[in-house]
Amino acid sequence: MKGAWWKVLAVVLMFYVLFAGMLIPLKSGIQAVSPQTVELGQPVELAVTGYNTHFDPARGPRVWLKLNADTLVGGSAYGLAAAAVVVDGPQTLRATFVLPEGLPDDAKDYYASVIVDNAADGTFVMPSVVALANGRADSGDDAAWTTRFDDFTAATGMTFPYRALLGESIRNQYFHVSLWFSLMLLMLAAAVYAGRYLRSGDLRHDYRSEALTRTGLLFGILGLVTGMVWANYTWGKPWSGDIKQNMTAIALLIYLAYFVLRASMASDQQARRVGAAYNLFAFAMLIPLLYIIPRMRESLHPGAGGNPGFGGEDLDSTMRMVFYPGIIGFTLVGLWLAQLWWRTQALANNPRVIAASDL
Amino acid sequence: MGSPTTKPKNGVREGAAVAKTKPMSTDLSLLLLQAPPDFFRSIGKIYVVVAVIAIVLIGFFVSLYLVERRISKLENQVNQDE
Repeated sequence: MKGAWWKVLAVVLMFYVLFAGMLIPLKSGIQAVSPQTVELGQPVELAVTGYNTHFDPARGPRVWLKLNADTLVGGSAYGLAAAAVVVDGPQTLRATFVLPEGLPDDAKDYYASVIVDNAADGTFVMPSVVALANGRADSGDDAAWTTRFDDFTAATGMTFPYRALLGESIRNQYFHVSLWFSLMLLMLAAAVYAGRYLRSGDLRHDYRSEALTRTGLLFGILGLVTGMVWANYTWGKPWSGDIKQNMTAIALLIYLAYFVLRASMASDQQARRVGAAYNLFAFAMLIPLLYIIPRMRESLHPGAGGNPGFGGEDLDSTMRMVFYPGIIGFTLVGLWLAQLWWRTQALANNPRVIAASDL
Repeated sequence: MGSPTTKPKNGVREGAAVAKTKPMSTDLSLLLLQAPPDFFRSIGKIYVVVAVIAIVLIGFFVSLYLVERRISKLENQVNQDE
């Protein structure tokens, strides 16, 4: 087992990612609110469906509508506290609001977010979910809308963010996104060994470069397929022609051509040298295809099309504690798979093995 | 001062006036709730994660199988000559 410490680390990290990634619960959140259009100037009862919530009359869930406006002086904001809250079950409650006749003058639009707070689950929001209709202009209702939002309960314990669209599938961050980051590291290693082979002509470098590229391509195919499965249940269809999807498909075709190129060469020597040179160019194309071009266009992926990179609700500090070990774990597993392949290739090209098979 | 439309404050009131006709709201999350969720959408889409992990594992095992096949070939080559 000497020299196998990184394989042990790979196993430990993969188990950690699997268990932490699957077992840490999601934060509480709001799945649905109905009705989503309410008339101003009338009392309205909103039915709120929670996710991972523990509504309980004893814990006094509180519900607010909050308008999209700048925070007012003194920590208040435009919003409305529910006049009454009836808990129907751990996941469902009804909140009654008595709506003023008009909107405040400096409300940014006529949508309101729903905020729920309770002692067990902390505070959570569904942004801009309720449309306020039939508002009377110049109603002078600023005072009626001015509400203090304070005394919120902080949720305790380790949790992953709740996003209404993703639900539990946010955990794919550790199994789909990690794959792509590992692919980048494996392809980088492949390019480095390709360069070393070109400089030294040492066959071992070529075996490594080829095996790492092979493993990287496997990761790419897996990343593409897992992404399609994930997209089918979040973006609605497996292939939306999203810029990142298209560009990664092109990047994988470029790497597929590496193997076609090698196989088409007349001599092994030629296949190795041309392959190594092509590998360097393929890696030079991988970076713009995966990381630059998708950021210049609108994309469904986070971290693209002017979206901020990963952060905030997409990747909080708890997720990072699983995501980064995931990248290392997948990279080490990839190295392991690649090593099996390059050792096999080296064995096949060992003079004694060749001599034995040629007898 | 200029026409009222140049003032953002009035722009908001116009927005509120538009809201008098029913705003575009399809109550999407309500529709999703009413439709019985299929297997992969049940329990917060957790089975999507299970499927993704399964695909990754299948990929690793296929890769192992390919290495094994290569080794078997080498073994046969060497053993034939003994």
